Order: sequence, then structure tokens, then C-alpha cells
Amino acid sequence: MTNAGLGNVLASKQVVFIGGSGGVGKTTVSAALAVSLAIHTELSVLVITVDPARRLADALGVSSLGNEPVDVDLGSIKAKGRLSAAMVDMKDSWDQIVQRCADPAVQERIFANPIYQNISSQFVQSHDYIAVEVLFELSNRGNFDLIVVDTPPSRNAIDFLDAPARMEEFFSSKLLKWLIAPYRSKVFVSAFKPFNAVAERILGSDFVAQLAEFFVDFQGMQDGFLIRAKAVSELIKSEKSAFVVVTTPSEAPVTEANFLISELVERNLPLSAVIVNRTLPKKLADREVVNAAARLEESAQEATELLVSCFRREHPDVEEELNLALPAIFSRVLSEVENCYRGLSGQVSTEVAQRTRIGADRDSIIEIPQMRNDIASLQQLSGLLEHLWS
Amino acid sequence: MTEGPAESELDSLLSKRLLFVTGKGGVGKTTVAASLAWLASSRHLRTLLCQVDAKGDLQRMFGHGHIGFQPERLRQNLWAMTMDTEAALQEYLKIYLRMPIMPRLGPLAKAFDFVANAAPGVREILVVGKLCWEVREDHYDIIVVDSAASGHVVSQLASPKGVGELFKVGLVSDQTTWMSQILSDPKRSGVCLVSTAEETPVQESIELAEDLENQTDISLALVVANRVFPSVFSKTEGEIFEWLDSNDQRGVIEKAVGKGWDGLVEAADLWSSISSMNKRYVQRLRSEVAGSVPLVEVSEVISVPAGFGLINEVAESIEAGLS
Repeated sequence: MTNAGLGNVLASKQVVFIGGSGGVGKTTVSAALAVSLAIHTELSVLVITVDPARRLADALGVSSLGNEPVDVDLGSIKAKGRLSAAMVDMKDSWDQIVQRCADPAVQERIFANPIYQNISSQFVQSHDYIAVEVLFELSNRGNFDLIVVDTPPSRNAIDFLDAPARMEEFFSSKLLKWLIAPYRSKVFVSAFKPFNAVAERILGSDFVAQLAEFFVDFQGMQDGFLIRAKAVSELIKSEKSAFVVVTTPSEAPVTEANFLISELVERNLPLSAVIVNRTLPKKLADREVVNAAARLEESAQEATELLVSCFRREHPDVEEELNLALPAIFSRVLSEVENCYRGLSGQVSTEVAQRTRIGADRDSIIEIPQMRNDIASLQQLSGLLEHLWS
Repeated sequence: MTEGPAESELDSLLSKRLLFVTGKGGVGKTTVAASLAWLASSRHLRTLLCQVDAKGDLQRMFGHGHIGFQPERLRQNLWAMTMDTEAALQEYLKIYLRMPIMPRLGPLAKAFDFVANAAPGVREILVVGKLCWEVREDHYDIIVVDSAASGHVVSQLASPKGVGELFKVGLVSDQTTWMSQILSDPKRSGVCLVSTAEETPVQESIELAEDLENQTDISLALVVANRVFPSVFSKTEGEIFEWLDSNDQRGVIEKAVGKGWDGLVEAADLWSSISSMNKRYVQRLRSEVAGSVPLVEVSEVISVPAGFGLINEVAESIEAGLS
């Protein structure tokens, strides 16, 4: 299987979205892809991550990340391009949106409203929306040729695609008008009465009033909001965007990946690649290895004897106690080797089966082998996707 | 169940009324929640398993059809339900305002759904409120909640506290008091934190434990280190393995089993590196998350597909680890 062309396909885009279910290594893959693009192309690449693990930030050589991109020092690596990284900060992002869209007096009221202080983290799956907002803001600056976006963990990996539309829908909702009507105009339309009466009884009148005030102010920002939400929607749909789905070769993540792929197809959005992360070495399924395991099982006794005598020849002065224990130790070592093999090779067959389930073109499937250790350096990160280019 | 000083950690865990199982996405929360519920129901406790962020995993796992808001009986003493804020709201309105259940979303319920979406804490308080209500009404001996992933669970568990500050008056405000009493009582409520023994999930678990400590009154009851690769070699065995794999010996062993030996070595090598990495992270979980709270290791169960078999295996590990 060759992935050699995929690097260039991705390099021709302006935004690459990395999606997939939780725990499959989206953030690592996003960083690896960004590093790899910065090395192999002359582009200025930005990676926007949602919540990088500390060690990943360390690997990128940046101690703290925020909405403002910072340069990643590619140091000893021979890179043709440049790399920057940013991390979505929910609170800061909301504050910036308010500052951009509302006039100073309204800003002050919004910042002081206790609802706002709570809402900025929870509002209409705002994580998804904020991620695209930050993307929009940074892509508009024109400093970057290519932006890799690590999408936030959400209930559905597809949520982030719908976030701008949901935000639009929210602001044009009739219900929002209902909620704020009594606080906005003195003409209290009787249709709203039952709702407000019950709402106040359950939630308390203070809360309902605060909520309404908040949305009255917020609605003042509606126009700015809607324009941006539309622009973000358009960016997602444009030819400049590409989508990469990450999965591991196990059942649930592949199911989720397939769901994501079908949603992309339905929306006419281009799927550029599927990255299968943490695959086991396929060598384990080679006939030669299978045979070796079988022979090890059949002739464990003989192999043990052979090896023990060989060991004794080489270590004539071994302590008596160890010497006596040698046959038992060797036999355990060999059976453990066999057990490890049996466990992992069973997993290899599962992986093969899962890989065939992936609903994408075979040539667009990229594999990243299971690491033996945590990624601790840029070199390791860049190595993960080396096969995109050769 | 036994009482008194001989009470095992498992007895004490299952004597709670409300157990929230949480952790980063992809670590096996649902399997652990199902296993805990399985264990509880095996011990003749009337058990409700509630999935909050439903993706249908429970249905698949138990090979059961659709599981909705109304609890479905899975086997003796075990029921399952899917949390649904809209249904929870309707039930709430019916119980507290004696409003009839509306067959479809009436304009009023729709408006509430909207508020629940937009206003902080409303959806969360509905979820936690429903669960606490089940505890108060004594419908079950224990409720195991397959909770939302890390970040969201804190806002759910903090909601009675937070909502108490936001909502000064009103029905909900009155109710936060008894909800908080249930949640803050370590005898009745607890969090079971699930993590795999890898960097990111462990890091997230450390942060989650801090957030739970700082922002909620609920206590940590159990830490589950899931999918741990058991260690392979003792020190001496490891040295022998290295000797075996050194170049001089290759010929000897290849004569015995064939050229494929290097594949076997690769498998053993990979397994033991993952296992020693896992070991380090279990240690971190123990020292930085669990502290005095029990920690159970659940071994990687390779090639058992999600389902009864896996639930059984995990339940046995938890039982063994806590007895």
C-alpha cells in the first residue's frame, strides 16, 4: 500500500481537519501531520490543538499554548517550511468574540453577567463552535499557508461541522425571542406568559431575568456572529478544506470513523485520508512466524534443553542455585514469548478484519504503528508520518 | 452482604447508592460501568445502569434492543436506562408541577429544552436531579452511571452547587439542597475514575481528580487502570531473554524453531515495552490520583470482543482487585 501522493494532496489545501472518536490519538496525529508538512513542504504550517497533553507540548518544544500562535523551533530537523502551534482557550476566545462584536457598554454588561461567566464553557456545545471561530480568526490573518485543526472531543465527532449552523439557528430561534420578549419590550405578549410563569417558578425570577438580560445583550451581537458563522461554514465547505479521519484498528473507533466518513460524504466534503493509529506489526502474521510459534509450542522441551546446555557452556561458573533453576527459567521465558505472540497475533487478525471495515479507498488509508513509548521529541513526531512522502 | 469490620473494599463500594463512572473518551468507561452494575446485580442488589451520553454502546454490549428513558430489565436485579433531558424535564414537571406528560414536545417543553440548551447548569441539574431523585425514592439499591466524558462530568456534578449560587430562588434552588446532601455524602455517592495506563488519559485523570476535588463535593471512590498489559518477565527472566536474543544465540534457537523466531521476539519485545510503560502510568495513577482510594488494575483482554464475555472478565478483575 502506498501513501506517497497523500502528502502532496494535503499540502495543496489550506485547512486540514482531523476528526475521530475520543482516545484514538487525534492530537498526536495532528501534531505529527503538521510537523511532517513543515518538514517536507515550503509552507508555513499552523497546528491548532484543543487540549494537548503536556508531553506533546514538550515534544513541540512549547511550554504553554494559547489562542495566539507561537513558533515551534524545528531546531536540528532539516525543515523546508515553518511550524507554529496554538491551543484553543475557551474563556479567552469568548471574551475576544464579545470584544469584537459588542459595543463597550454592552461588553461591560456581558462580562459582569454571572450567566456569561458560566456560559462560556457550556453554551450550545460551544467547544465546537469556538474551535472553528479560532480557526476562522487565524486563517483570516493570512500568516499561514496551511492550518491543521485537531477537532475537539465531542459526543459525535461530526458536531464541529455543524457548530456554525447550530449557532446561526440559535440566534434566529423563535424561542430565543420568546424568552427575552418580556424583558425587551413593555408590550408583554400574552402568548409568552405561561412559559415565563413556569420558568420563573422553577428557575426563580432572578435567574430568568439574568438569562433574558444576557440574551438581550447577546442578541445585539447577532449580526457579527451570524456573518462569522456563515463565513466559517463556507470555509468548511470550500475546496480549500480537507478532512482526515483518525481511528484505531478496533471495533468501536472504526464504527465511529465510518459514521464520520458517511457524514462527510453526505455533506459532499472531501475525505483525504484515514489514519489508522497504533497498528501492530503485520510481520506477526507472516507464515514463517506462525510456523515458528507452532514449533516452539511442539518442541518447547527440546528447545529448552538445547538452550540451557548452550547457556551452561557459555557460563561455566554460574551459581549453583541459578544453575539448577535454569531449565525452569528457560521454559518460562519461552512460554512467555509464545504467550505474547499468541496475544498480539490474535490482535493482528482482529486488526486486519477491522481495517477492511473502513469505508474508504484503500490508497487513502495510512497506518501508524503502535509506539513502544510516549512521544517525547519532534524527531519521533515527524517519523510517524514519514511514509506520506516516500 | 456482610456487615461490620470484615467489609471488603468491594462491599463498601457497592454499598453506595450512586456511582458515577467517568474518564477520558475511549478508555472503556462503558465496559467498566456495565461490569460494576453486573457485579452489583450478581450480589442481589437492585441495580440501575444509566447511560448519560448515549451512543448505543450499552445496547450493543448487552445485545439488547433500544434502551430508552424507561428502565429496561436486562436480567434479574439489573435494569438499564438512557438519560434523556427532555424526558427528565417532563417527568420533573409532572412530579413537581403536576403537569401532564405531553405526548410530543409541546411549546412549553420545547421552550424549556431551549433554555436547557442555552442556560448554564439547567441540563446538568436535570440529569443529576433525576439520578438523585431515584436515590431518594429508593427505587434501586445502587445506580451506576455511565457518565459523560471527563470535562462534562465536573459540570454535572458541580451543578447543584453552582446552580445554588446562580438560582437564588425557585423550585430548583430549593431542590439543590437535598441533591447536594446526597452527592456530598461519601457513604452514598462516589466517582469511579477509569483510565488506561498511558500518558494522555492519566494526565487527564489527574486534572479531573483535581477538578472534582475543587469544584464538587463528591468523593472519589475507585480508580480503574484499564487495559493494562501484564508484565512478562521477572528480572532474571528478562536477562535470559536478552541473552537468547543476542546475536550469538540466534542461530541456536532458529535451528530449533525456524527463521520466524525474530517475529516472536518482536512480539515479546513490544509486549514488554507496553507493559513497562503501563506499569509506570499505573504508578502515577496510584500516587497522583488514587491516594488512599482503592485502585484496581484490569488486564488487557485481547481478542474478546465487547459484550457479555468482556463484561464478565472485567467484573472478575474488579472483584478480585477489591476483595
